[in-house]
Amino acid sequence: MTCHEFWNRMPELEAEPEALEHARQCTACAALLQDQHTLAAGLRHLAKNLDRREASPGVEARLVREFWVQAGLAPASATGRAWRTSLGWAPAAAAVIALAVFLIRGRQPEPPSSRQFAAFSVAAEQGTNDPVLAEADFIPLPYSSDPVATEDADLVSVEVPPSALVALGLPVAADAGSGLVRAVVALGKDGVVQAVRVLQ
Amino acid sequence: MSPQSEADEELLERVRSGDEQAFVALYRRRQGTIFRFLLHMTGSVNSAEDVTQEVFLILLRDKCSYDPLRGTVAGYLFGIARKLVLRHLERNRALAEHGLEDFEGTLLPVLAVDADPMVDLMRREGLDQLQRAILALPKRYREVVVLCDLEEMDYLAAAEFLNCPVGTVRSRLHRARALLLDKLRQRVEPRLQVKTLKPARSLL
Repeated sequence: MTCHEFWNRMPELEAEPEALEHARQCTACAALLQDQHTLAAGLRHLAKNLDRREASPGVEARLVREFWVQAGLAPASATGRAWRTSLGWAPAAAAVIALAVFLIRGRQPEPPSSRQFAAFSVAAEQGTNDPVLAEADFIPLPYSSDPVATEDADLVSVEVPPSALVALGLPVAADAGSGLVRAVVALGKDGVVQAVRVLQ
Repeated sequence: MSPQSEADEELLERVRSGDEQAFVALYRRRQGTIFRFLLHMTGSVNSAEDVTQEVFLILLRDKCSYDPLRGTVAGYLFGIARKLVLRHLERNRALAEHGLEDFEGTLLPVLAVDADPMVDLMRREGLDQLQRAILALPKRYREVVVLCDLEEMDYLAAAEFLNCPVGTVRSRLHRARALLLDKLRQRVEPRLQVKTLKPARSLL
């Protein structure tokens, strides 16, 4: 047997006495055969180390859910790569939403802070239920949570500097000067100003 | 008859009629081999899980075209897995450059490193090198090593799964092992970079 024939009969040559005889006579082939045996042992060792490796339980759970979807028992949901991709996009989507909220809020007037309200010379006549105050005269604030319903709101009469009205996003006449402006604010059930009516 | 003792074909029939238990039984029976094949082919747990899931999704959806006359359910599933992973590897060629972090914790504890790669094959570093060498094999050689050497499948079954003659499996396996040895030796004795020499102009 030549070296060429020897290697052509790999990898089952161990069972053939003729091949083994060649390996005994040819040191080069014997060395290569030894390497092959070591490699085979390494591969068996590797296989043994990984033979219990399985897909995570999450894969089964997603497949069972897909089974229900196919059976019409559950709403369709993202699976597989789409599922992983959507997870990957989630932080980006959250960041975009947060940025959008920030920008929208940034464009809105800041609600008056407690300090500003303290600055209001609260001539606050609590519970001013002036019959002449019509709902249409109230200017809803951009962040107000519910529509203005003055019959349900607590109305508070205040005197505020024009700058406070500007901060609320309300138009103030240029000749308002530095004096105080009388206004009525409608407070929602949560105590937050929902609308403002400027009296002067 | 319990789902564990049923043949794959019977389970698949029940899956098609909407039996969840049958699906779970078939999945648990076949996912391990498919997952490990995919893990060895991609070197990535995430990719292996993604493709494993895709394989079984095909069973659930209308795309399942299993024909019992053409082979076994296991062969059918493996054929899908192979097709999907080859497509996946084409899309993500860079995966071949991945480290083996996904395999971490699955091998033997660290022992002494030997200069001889063949002796070292039985130790952790040697096994890491072996895994890298397998991942670096061309796909057609990698799959025969995974099937025949790692999953200990016989040549006939491997030939059925790979849809090729038994002789092709044997010759590819032979070539794959030679390439593996070559790669393992190169790690210890990197080949010298031989620059192409330009012909010198004669001074005479």
